[in-house]
Amino acid sequence: MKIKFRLNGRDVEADVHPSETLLETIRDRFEITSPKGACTQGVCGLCVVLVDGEPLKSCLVLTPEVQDSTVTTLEGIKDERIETVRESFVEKHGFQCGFCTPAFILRTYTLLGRKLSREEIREELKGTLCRCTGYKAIVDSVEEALIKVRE
Amino acid sequence: MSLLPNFKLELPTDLKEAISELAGGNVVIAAGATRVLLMSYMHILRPEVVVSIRRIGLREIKVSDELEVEANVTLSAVARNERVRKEFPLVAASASHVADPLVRNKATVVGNVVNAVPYSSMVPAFLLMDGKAKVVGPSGPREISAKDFFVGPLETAQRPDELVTSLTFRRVEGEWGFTEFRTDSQLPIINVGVLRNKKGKVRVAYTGLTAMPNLLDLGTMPSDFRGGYREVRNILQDLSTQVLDDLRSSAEYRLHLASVLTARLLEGMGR
Repeated sequence: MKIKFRLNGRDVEADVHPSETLLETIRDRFEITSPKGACTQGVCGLCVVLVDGEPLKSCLVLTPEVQDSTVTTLEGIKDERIETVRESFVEKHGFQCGFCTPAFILRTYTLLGRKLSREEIREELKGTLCRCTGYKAIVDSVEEALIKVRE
Repeated sequence: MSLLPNFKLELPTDLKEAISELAGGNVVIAAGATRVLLMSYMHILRPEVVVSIRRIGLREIKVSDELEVEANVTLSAVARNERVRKEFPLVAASASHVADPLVRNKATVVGNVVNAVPYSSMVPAFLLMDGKAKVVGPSGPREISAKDFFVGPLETAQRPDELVTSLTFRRVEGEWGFTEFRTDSQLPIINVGVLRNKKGKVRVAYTGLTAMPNLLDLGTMPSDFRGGYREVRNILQDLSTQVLDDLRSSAEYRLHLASVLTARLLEGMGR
């Protein structure tokens, strides 16, 4: 199936299999590697991308579903506030191995501008798993990023 | 190597075309497609043809005397909608409990009900609020009431050549409560919805207690926890032979959970 969509600011076209996931299309055809295929069954949330601004698990999206949509990965975010998010993760040690980091940074980006308690941050981050840090440092990082961006 | 088993995908662009794709009945309908993809990953489902209804519209949330949620409306859209939160809080609360925010951004309210899975979060509200499923098939539209909708485990009154285009929820006065119990991060063992009308009569609905959803009239209930627990546990004894007993939870534990959670909700509403 020939599919057209916008990927990280440019119009792209791909001839995909009907059962091809957006995760496969992005990684294998366009060689964009921030979305990770870890569980590849809808659980870990490391393959998160923005589709028309909404964060989705790209292993739960069929590429033909994004016809005419705008798809953005972490690589495609030009907003300079993303630097503040990155710095907060460094300062608060929000990662160890780094495999989940692009997903958490992208998800934090979607929360910028909101005022959230730690409990609400935890609720908002559900659906993305980290197997190293145990989340405290991640929540610290997100909290820090939200505060810095508000200032 | 591809992640999913191969299937054919149809993407009709209007309702009529969608209904004609369903003829023959040997297809899997997908809106948010989360169930279809998850089940395919787990090799539980091997669809040959998937009909995605994403391009046929049906994206509206309509609020009048009742709430109508069309087939492509996501759980997030309902959970975030100000009018739904204010006027149909049980529906908004139920929607905000499903899976996680990423899944809710794609999965639909209608899907959560029509899949008739025993861990559905939306079904208790659908039953408690005298819901109706609006269905369209080759011979035209019809309506199925919530209490007639579930006909067996994972089985509904929707025929294979029919599409559920929307669900309605009746406006109810009184107090409400919703909760779930999960031991892992994905699927609840049990969901509980409670309504207490202005006369103090309580109705409760469960998913995950038995293979099919339950809707029970409890009458007037004590609002202290101990009293509530005792009454609910007694009433549920009638169902005890049908209660699910599996790896995730024993039947005894499910009965206990249902009673505890219901009593807690009743106690919370009394304050």
